Amino acid sequence: MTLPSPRRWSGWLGLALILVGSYVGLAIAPPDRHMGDVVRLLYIHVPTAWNSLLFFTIAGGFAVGSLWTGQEKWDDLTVGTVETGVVLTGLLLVQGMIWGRPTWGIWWSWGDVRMVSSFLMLLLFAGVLSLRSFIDDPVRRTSWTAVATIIAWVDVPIVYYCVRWFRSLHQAKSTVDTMDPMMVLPMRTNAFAILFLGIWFLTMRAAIEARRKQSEDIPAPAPVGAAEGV
Amino acid sequence: MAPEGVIIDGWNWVIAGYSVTVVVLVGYTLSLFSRYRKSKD
Amino acid sequence: MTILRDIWLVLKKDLLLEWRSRARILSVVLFGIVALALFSFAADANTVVLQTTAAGFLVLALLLSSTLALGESFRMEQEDEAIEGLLLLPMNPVAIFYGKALSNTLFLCLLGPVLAVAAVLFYAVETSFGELAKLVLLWTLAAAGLSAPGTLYAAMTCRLRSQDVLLPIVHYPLVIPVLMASVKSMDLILNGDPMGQMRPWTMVLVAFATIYWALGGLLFPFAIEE
Repeated sequence: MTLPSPRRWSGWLGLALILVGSYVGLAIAPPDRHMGDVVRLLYIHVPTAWNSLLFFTIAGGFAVGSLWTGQEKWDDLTVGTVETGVVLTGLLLVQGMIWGRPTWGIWWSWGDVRMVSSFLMLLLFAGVLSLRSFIDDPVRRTSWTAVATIIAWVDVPIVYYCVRWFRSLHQAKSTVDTMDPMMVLPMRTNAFAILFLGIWFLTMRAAIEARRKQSEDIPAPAPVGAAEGV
Repeated sequence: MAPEGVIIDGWNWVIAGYSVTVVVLVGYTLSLFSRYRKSKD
Repeated sequence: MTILRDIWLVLKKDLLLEWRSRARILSVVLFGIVALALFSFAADANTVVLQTTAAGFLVLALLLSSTLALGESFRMEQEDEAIEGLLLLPMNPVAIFYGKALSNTLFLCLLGPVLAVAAVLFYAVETSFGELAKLVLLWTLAAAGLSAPGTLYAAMTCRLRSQDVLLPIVHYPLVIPVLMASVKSMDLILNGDPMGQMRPWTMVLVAFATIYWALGGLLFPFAIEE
């Protein structure tokens, strides 16, 4: 028996996990010794960051698959993944600003590596999506989306390292050992929650793309009355 | 109130952050549903 | 090597066309100078500010001019469906990419000395001939880095509606590493390099250009196949 499509279960699983994870993060985990309750933002912010990077990484794989095989399902998955990544990164940036204001006193810092490189990634992949939206020819749309996604994808590490050579004020990564177990738990739970929600987003978006293509393949309905002549 | 030694007391920021998250995730879900319905096969 | 001959043919064709319509080269040069002049008003015509931001403005002028040059280089192929004729030739499409990317690089390189001198004059930068030569060398690297992905994107966007908007929104975010590296390295030339940071930033320019020149050749056939 094959596993049912993630579209059936992934969204519910993600929803359940995010409710549990956020409950633990908001109600059970202790406030941080230095940052107080603001630290609770991290239980949703950090998992969003992990997943946005993960989805962009996967998008490159799907795009290569799409060029390699020329099969439409890879194209559907590429669009789904890039769009999910863009949504998560947009969310990530807003969360980051809400985190930055109370902790650093500023909404935005051009000196912060992760903030700036996330923003540039958002621009890169949003550009891919908007390029795609202007392509009418279905064959071109498939290959050009894949080409643009691969070009953008290769740029991600270059952008990251370039931005990194400008000075940063992002705090050093905490390792699990330095954290209270009650802080690790909500972060991990929410990481899986957003992963499953993201998988649902991407499969749903891919399904929409597949349905659109099907309706494109059907020739436009003949004007009323023309059918009688057949 | 913030306990002794805590520099920031930030429930309002926490609420803002989680609200934004809910709005974006729910909003995107709704947009997917509406696009799914419009893309009738 | 037939591919080298084909690249040369495409390059020669482009150069010949550019030479016959010299007005286009001149208009792009003029555009770059206009941009440099505009920036000085954005910086409040303040000499100190201008000196410290000269490298940044110079690179921005290059980037903005590159959009015009790249768009134009495919617009002329698009007129009269000339590109379809090019694709019908018994020629590897990869040769078309490298020929086009080379002609775009050369075109942008031509801008280099003119705009560099204009920037030195406008922004009252203290410099020497040796420094200017280094500047032009970096400019060549930056032009190569901009041209490879730009040629690939221009080949796609030239066949779409709203090409003038689409090319910058896909091209600019992509070349931000080129922008950062060339601004940094040119600034180090103009304003001194006490920490010896010149090498890593030059390497970024070299690496970016190498990666996208290779990737462009791989992907271009997919971008123009019918």
